[in-house]
Amino acid sequence: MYFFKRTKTMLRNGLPYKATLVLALLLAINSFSGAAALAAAAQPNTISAQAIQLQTYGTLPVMIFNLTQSPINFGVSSDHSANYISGGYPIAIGLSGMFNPQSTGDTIAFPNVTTPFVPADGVVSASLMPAVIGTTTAGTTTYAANSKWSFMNVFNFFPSWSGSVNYGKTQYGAFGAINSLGATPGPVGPQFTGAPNVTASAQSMNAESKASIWMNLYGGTTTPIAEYTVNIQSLGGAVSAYQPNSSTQNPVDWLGVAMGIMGDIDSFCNPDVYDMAGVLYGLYNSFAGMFQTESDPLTTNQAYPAKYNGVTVSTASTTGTQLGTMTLVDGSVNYQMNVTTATTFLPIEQQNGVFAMTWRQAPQGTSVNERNSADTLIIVVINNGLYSSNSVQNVINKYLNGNSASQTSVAGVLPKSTKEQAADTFKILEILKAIAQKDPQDAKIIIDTFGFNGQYQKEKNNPAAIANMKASLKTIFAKHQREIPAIKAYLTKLEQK
Amino acid sequence: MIKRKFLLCFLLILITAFSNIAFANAPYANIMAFTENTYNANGVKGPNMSTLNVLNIINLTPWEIYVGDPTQPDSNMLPGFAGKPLVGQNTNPLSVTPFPLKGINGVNNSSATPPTNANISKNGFAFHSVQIALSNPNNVWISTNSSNAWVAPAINLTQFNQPKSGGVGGIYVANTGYVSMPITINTLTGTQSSKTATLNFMVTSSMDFAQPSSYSGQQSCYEFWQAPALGYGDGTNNYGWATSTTNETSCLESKFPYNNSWNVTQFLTIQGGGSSGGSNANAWVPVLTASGAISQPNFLNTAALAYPSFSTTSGVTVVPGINYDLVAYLQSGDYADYSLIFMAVPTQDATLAKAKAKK
Repeated sequence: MYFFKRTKTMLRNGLPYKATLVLALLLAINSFSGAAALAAAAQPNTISAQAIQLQTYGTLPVMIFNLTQSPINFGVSSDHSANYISGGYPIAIGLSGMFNPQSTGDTIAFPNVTTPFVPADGVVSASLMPAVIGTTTAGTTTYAANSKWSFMNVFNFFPSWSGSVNYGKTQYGAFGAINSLGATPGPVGPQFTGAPNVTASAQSMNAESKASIWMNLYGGTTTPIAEYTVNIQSLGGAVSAYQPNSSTQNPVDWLGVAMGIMGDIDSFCNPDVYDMAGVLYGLYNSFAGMFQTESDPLTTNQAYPAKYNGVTVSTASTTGTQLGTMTLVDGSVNYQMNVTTATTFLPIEQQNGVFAMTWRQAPQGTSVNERNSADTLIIVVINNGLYSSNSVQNVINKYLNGNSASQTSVAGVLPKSTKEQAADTFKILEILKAIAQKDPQDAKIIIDTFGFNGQYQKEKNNPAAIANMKASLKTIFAKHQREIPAIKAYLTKLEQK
Repeated sequence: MIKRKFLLCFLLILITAFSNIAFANAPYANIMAFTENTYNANGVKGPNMSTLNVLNIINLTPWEIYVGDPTQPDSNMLPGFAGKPLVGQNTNPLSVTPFPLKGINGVNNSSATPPTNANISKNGFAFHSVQIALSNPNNVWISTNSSNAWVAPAINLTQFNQPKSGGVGGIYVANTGYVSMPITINTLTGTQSSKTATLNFMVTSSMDFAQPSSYSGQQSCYEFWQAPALGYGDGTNNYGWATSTTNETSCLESKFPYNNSWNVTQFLTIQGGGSSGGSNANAWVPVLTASGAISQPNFLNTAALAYPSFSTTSGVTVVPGINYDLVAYLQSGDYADYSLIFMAVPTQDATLAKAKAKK
């Protein structure tokens, strides 16, 4: 049901299709020469905007997913948290509860949806448990899908309050009686039993403000090893701004990255929705629905009128034990992909990307009841090692003789993984991490080829490129098969197909 | 500390459209629709409708929602309030007719128990929210006469004094009411049952009620008084707002169209609703900020009603074994959209503030 989708545009980085194909062939030739060559460094896609532009102001539904190997705690904050605190109104409400900022300006970490009354410590329970959970026995870690689907959440964020205003000339009082329709008409009531003049207060959005969704990544202790932040800028009441829209970019590739991982979790778990939080499985289905239904793109380059409020989203840099940073590699007014970069080899569990997207449905023109939907902000933290493993699994299991995708449909999609194929994703992750311990450079080659913006993501529909990627992978697997026995089964598959 | 002032008010009739019956004192909560730093036609700084003109209705719950009356599928639910196409969008129609909103997982309603894989929709999230374009909301909103007939504000004295069949003494009669739009939760069809919850969404204003002039020599004239709009009520204690303005008499032709010159304050209100054998209108509880009370709310532009443990009532939950309250959150965003947001919140008395009446 859930497949990698053919890219909507044949224009990659502004190049026409034929030029792209030639480029891929050149890279393939290079990889045949001798031992596995270094894969080309991931090239950034077009970045046509530095921030996402929302069309829903003042309230923001958020769906957030953790497709990594690590627990994540998340919460929200505002640079005007003092107003929320003094006013006593919430900054976020959702499946984890209702939240107000603390004196620090941050909320507490949201409890996990499946355990809303258990504090999130990042170890025993986290806001978002990992999509794949590792179990270590006698020094060996094996991975399995998170069968509780406790790696997602949904809440509503109120990011824009910046102060308060007062109104005089208002009266508030008790009614003596309220009559329903059908009562005898006449100046009977209701009557205030004394309506005092009050100075009424209202929350204000007049000032610019910045609110944040912060995410802390954990590595086995209660001390975070990395932090990712999504910022939401509210422009206030007197700022006019817009970003030019690019209609040629769409986030379907990154949605496909996430769908590939969640699709394998779905196949592996084959969940019985009666025994789990059906809503969470439904969120996954909703994500799949978004993958298969284009969001209504922002098509109007219309400046926010001066008195209107605007919201932008950006992802800040990460901090952690390895001092990595986040680099924007793909972005438009509708989505962003930021990936962790570092001068040293980061542990695979810290090689993460943060994908942020707004999604809104346009009327389909099929009935008079259809209208635009409000924005929903989608945030997905994706582990590059996990994505690479999913890509390798697809290459090994679905690209058969002739190096073309097996059973590719007319639409150019891959078949959904079987349970056994999905299990390979997690086993390959174990292999990848074992290779990284023995030879980080070989692990890097695999991740660069099959991970974010790698050759596989760009050339998965190119049989010749796939053949070269398989050859490169076979070389590395052959090199490590003696010390990592689990490789043998996959090397056999690569040699047979 | 606070001066007490008597205010003669007119009959405020609460009606619910179509098939719903209003419980006179069903709990309610409201917000003031406003944009700060704006001035009304009289040059007075005060609450005035946001020119952003969008109402979001957002469903973040596992319960499906039906907006409107299913027996009136072609009726314009918010006349005078909504229907303008969104700027830059080719959005039709111009009227707001009833529609469903799916839950965040696209399954579960009162008629499908238990849910099956077959009806888990891929597109469950695809249509969980709508943006309704608003017409110029600074006009007095359309209301009805005592015969529940739709009337538009008269634009001149001649219209005003025309007899109307079924009405009393002219188009604009003394006893008018606010038209409401029913919203039923846990149904895709709008059919109420013991497993559903219903709200009536109303747009009210602090102007627009008239009665025959009490001044001698002006018996043929109508006076337009400020009228209280609903504030907060918990089913026993009922409060409302009014904005202070002088009364206007409509005998003079120059007073028309009256709605463009007077200080109109608009309020958006949600009130518990239900019909016999259907939703329990009185199960809702007003929710205010932590230090507020229905007798003394803190803020005009954020309010909520909660239906405690609706997961038990509906038979549909998020995580098995955990109770969830249904929260209907109404927000006027100052420079932002108006929003009516439905959320499922784990039931925990410490975190969900309950309204308390202070006598």
